[in-house]
Amino acid sequence: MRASVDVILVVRQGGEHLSNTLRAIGNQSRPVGRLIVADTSADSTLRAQIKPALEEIRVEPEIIDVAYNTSWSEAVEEAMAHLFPEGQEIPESAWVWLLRDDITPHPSALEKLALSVEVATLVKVAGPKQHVASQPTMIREMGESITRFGERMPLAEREMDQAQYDRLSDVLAVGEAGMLVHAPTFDSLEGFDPALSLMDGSLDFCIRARLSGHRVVVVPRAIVDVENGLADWSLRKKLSSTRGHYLARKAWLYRRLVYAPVWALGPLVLVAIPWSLLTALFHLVRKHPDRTVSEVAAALGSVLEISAVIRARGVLSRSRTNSCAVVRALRLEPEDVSKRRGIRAQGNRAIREEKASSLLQPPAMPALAWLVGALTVVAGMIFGRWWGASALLGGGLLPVAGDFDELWNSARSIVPTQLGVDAPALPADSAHFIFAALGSLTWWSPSAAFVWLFVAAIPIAGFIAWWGFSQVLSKAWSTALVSALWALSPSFLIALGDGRVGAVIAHLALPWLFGAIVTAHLSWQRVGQASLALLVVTAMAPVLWPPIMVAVIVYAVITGFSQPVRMFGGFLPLVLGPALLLGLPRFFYWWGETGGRWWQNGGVLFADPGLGVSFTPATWWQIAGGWPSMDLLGSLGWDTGTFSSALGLVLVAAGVLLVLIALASLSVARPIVGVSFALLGSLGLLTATAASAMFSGYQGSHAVFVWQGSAVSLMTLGVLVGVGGTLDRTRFTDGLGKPARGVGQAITRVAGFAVVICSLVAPGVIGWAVWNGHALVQPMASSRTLPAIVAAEAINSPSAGTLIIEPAGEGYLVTLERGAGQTLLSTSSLVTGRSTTLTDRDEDLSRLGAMLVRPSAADPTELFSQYEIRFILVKEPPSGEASLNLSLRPELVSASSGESGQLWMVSDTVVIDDALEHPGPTGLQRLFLALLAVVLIVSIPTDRLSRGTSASRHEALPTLGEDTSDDD
Amino acid sequence: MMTDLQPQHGGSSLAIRTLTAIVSTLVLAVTIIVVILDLPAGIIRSVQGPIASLQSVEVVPAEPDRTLVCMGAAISLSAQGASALSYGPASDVVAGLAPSLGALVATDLQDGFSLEETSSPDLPSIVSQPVEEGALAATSHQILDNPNVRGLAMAECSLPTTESWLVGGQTTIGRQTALSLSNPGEVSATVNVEIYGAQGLIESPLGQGILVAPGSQRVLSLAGLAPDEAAPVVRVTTNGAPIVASLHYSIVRGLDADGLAVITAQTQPSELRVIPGLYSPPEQVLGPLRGKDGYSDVVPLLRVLAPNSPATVTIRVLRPSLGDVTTLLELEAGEVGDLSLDELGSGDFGVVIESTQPVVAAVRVTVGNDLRTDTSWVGSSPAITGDSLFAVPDLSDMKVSIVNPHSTSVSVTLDGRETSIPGGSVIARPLSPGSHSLSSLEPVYAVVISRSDALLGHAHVLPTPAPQRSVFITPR
Repeated sequence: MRASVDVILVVRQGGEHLSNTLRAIGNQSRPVGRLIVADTSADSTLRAQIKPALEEIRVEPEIIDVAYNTSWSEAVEEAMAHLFPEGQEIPESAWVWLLRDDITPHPSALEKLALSVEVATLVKVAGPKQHVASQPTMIREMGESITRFGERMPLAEREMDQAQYDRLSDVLAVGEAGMLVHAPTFDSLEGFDPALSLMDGSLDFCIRARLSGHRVVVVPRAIVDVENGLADWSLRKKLSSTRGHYLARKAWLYRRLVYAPVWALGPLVLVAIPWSLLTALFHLVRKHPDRTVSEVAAALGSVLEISAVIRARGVLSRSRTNSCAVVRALRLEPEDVSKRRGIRAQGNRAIREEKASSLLQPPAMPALAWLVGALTVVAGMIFGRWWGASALLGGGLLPVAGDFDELWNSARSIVPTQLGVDAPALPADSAHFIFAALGSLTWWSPSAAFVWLFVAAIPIAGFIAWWGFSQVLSKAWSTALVSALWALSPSFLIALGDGRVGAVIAHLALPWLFGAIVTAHLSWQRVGQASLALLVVTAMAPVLWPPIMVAVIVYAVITGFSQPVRMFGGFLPLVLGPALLLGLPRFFYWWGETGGRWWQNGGVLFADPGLGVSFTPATWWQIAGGWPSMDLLGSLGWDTGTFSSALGLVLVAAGVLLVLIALASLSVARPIVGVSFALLGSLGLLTATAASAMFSGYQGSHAVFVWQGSAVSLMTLGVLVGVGGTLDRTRFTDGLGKPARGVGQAITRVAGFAVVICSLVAPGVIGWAVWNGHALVQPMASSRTLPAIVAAEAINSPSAGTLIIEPAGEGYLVTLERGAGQTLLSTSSLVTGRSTTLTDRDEDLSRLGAMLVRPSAADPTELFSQYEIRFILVKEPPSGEASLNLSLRPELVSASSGESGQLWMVSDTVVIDDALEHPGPTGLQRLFLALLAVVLIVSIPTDRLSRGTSASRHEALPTLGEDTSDDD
Repeated sequence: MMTDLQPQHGGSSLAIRTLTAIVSTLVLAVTIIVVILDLPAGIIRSVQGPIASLQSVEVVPAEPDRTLVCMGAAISLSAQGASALSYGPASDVVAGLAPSLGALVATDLQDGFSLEETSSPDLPSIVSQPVEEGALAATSHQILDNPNVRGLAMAECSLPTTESWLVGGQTTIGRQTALSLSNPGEVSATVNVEIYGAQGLIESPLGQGILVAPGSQRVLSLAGLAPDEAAPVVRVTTNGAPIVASLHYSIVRGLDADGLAVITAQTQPSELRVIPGLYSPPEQVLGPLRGKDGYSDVVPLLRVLAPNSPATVTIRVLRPSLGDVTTLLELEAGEVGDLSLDELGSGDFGVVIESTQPVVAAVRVTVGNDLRTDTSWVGSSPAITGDSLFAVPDLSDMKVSIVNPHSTSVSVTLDGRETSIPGGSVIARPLSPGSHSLSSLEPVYAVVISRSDALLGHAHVLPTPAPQRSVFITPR
């Protein structure tokens, strides 16, 4: 029976595509019947637009206006209603051909389709072979099937059309694009399911057709070119992969609910959400954190559409005549599914490698090994005096002390018992979390980890820097050179010499952060790494919060043009989230303390963690040369005279030379290098010059300002990226391996040597200071800051107080410490930065101090017991006035005496050793831990990021005698 | 130019490169300008406002009661020198608004009246008074006349100190010097005694680490530390509680006890020392004695020590009506110099010692007749400025001698009467027993003298210690 074919063309928008489609319809080798154009474009000029095309073809379209938001299934429904008005019987010979405005059928498409249905009466649905419109030899889709679990599987991947599928005929389903469907069947099956209007609508329809005993065929010789998928076309935009995943999952779950037997419906609905959570976790592990959200959302969406499910089940049961066996025979077997998945994964990997081949990574061996080895030697030359010390103290270094439990308790909150026995707990600095993690590496003696860190800091810095720089550089020698410069940069060495733990760890982590962020658009694993690195850097150097925020946001905006959802919905929250959450409790406390005048206390917010160490800030040009402070020269007595000015010039000159080389990168290096140099260099310089003005409290009687060095490190990172980028562009051999000789090579060689020589001056000077004991950090035999007798007493009563009196100016400074003295984890920048307004406790301590340092009739016993003071340490020689007066106190027993301090014991103080009340983790902290777990899972490298290495590339592609220079 | 790796920029990438290079250069240039103008720090500083300074609390210490320790019973050493003996208590006269009296609780003196070796009941007194009640002074005296010891012992009660210099005494045959250490405090004192002699510092390991228990008096024989020393000067230091140290000096000529003196502490060495109360008896009294065997020490004598470095000392004896006498003396470091002050004429004189290096000094004065004599050592006096009190015991012929070493005259108020002392002069005023006051705006030096035919005693007028300054404490 000859079929009469009417065409339903659903139009989203007019324009060239529509005209092409109309022309293609007109040029069909088999004439069409009626042409119904369902216009959803809401464009009044549409008719005028298609007029030229209509003039070329013989068919007169019947245009019906449909609402702008009408979905595919509804539009088709309306067109059907227009073709076959209500109450009118649809003739048995009526077929409709479903087209969209982005489909261009080949001239013989309809003919072949119609032929296939005319010869086989059971065939009620026929689909063409879809080609990709932009790549006409690629198969887009050609028949569909499902897995055992109902997931849609295309029978043909997107691959080159080599007629390899042309023997296909009976399939489970075909796509809706260019589908030729028997109109009475379409009507009896009640059309497409409106709940599946974006995805899987035709799959569902074909399955229902199969269940009603009809055949569905794909006709390989009928070819249509298709521009977009149904969902993209329906929504008039390119969908993100996350949205696509959501739609696919939702459609799949929806169909499962529709096809499931009645008894299974309840359990399926119940397990949908828990199951989706499990799957989400799986996606997390597989480095698809974007899919975790869509997975759960899809489960939720499908469950919420339960009314549509029930309607669809009604439709299915009304039309169904066959058993599921029909479907079972046509669906894909599990081994087939896994084979297809394997092929798809290989394909994706190939695509990634293809993409990655434009980023060349330097080969790690042997340059990395040489780098670490050489840096170990240099570290020995600079800090060898520290090797073998059982403790490093002085400057910002304190014993870490405490056991494992105390370590992690202090990571959450600090109880400043030096402010009073019943002082309320404060939120800990973010850094304490990192300190606790670091201390846990050597859980039997947490201090040991810090000693090892300081001793091994330089090679570790070189190693991490190699990784970071290798993300943007492509040559081993330039990467090794800038990594060495990074590991020996003055800001790092000074931080080590001053014992600024925070600045040291921040410096170690900065290249990690940099390398992870510049590759974050390539892999979710790198996003996780960036998040961890940012957590470390901002915890260790809170002053880097503003520049890093700016840098991360700038990066997200630049890369967000191509993948906005990933960058703004995934990258930004994941990268900034953990660090922000960790810092929030401290921020809220700080906010409460400022009493509304936050601008006066900004320095406290950005205060360095640990013990504050005061310093003389450097001038801007010294900072630009990489030096955060010239105090070291002062301590050597080299800060005056011609020698020192010459030395200072050499020290700064090295940095200036680096900046000049880096400036060249703006013109010769890759854009990411130039932008990184300019952005990080500028932000670092601005922050460094601003930092030294930020007042962050008093450590003892010294005013402490935010350390510039961390920001100088950021600037140095930018400069070194620029230097590396410039040096990277020089080629010492031509394509044939012959040494290249030219001005560029000569300049590079001279500059490289000059940089190396100049950069060794700074380590030399700092090594001299360390070996002569001028550095603040000193190797110690035991890890304590108070006399041994106090430390011994602290074992039994950890909250026994020690009143410390030291001469300061005209008077005395009185401080109170507990137990064995301050530890790194008992410091708090909130305590250091607390208001200088006198409290009751301050007045009590003043009175107590006065009655001890001067002859007094007052009785200190009450204050001793109120503050649980067991010891008094006077930091002056035995003949000092305060020492003499303390010796007159009958209630004090002299415990030890030395030139630097006299210790007295209060004989009858009762110390109540309550275990310190550390409040449990707050909601914010739990949230942080949860997010951290997510980030950790994401950051575990389960698949290697494909990168080409520059070495293998050169071997693989010898460019025979070709002059590749085109940079002129 | 530097050669490139491989061609990798098409038209659009060249445009991006150019754009990023321009933007980057602009960013860097703007940064450098902003930084040179010091805008970041400037903005932060102006927003932050002035930095809150660390607050100090000015605390005025609650002054402990002013406590004076008196000399206690005059001490003589037993014939064997093994034990120190007392013969009854001394009498104390107190001047002050609300003094309270107490005594030490233990002594290692033995009762000279007892035949058994019983501990002496005669404990040094402690006079204390709240600081706000003003000046406090007390003087002790005791007249002994028994076969072992004879003479007048008189001394001011003093504040405990951690360093005392005692100039005077002798440990040659017939001369006994006992060192008394009194600790009125609540913690024990560890006392180190250094003795300088005519030949320099005398090594005396026994003098190191002498423990004086709280509230007790310990007495040592100086001869045990420095035997047969003609010119000792004792420096007493303590670690821990301050103490009051004094020397009790007694003379035995032949078999007869003949003279008693108590030497009280003087302040740390200084370049100016002033000794009021030098009395030179008339030649007709001294002349006959001088020649007698064993009476060679009746001549007035000045003892000077520059403990640390060699010094040139200018000694000026102020003789109000006779004119000053000036002598130069070269001292070796640590070697005690004795200078006989013979042939000065008779009268109450003052001695002013100016030295190139810090020194301590004292004079020995003797009165008497053929039958009996009495000696007293007068150490250099502390300078008196402001208001001070002194107590005068009920003895015959009491007077106060005040020296003005300055070149201009000084007006002092003695018991409410204003008196002018010419520059470089000495005045002496007789006094009734009891409490007296002396105030001066310029530093003057004064001693109370009890001098009769054959009894002689001196007590210094002590300045009222300035109240404690407040102390600045910075709590953090």
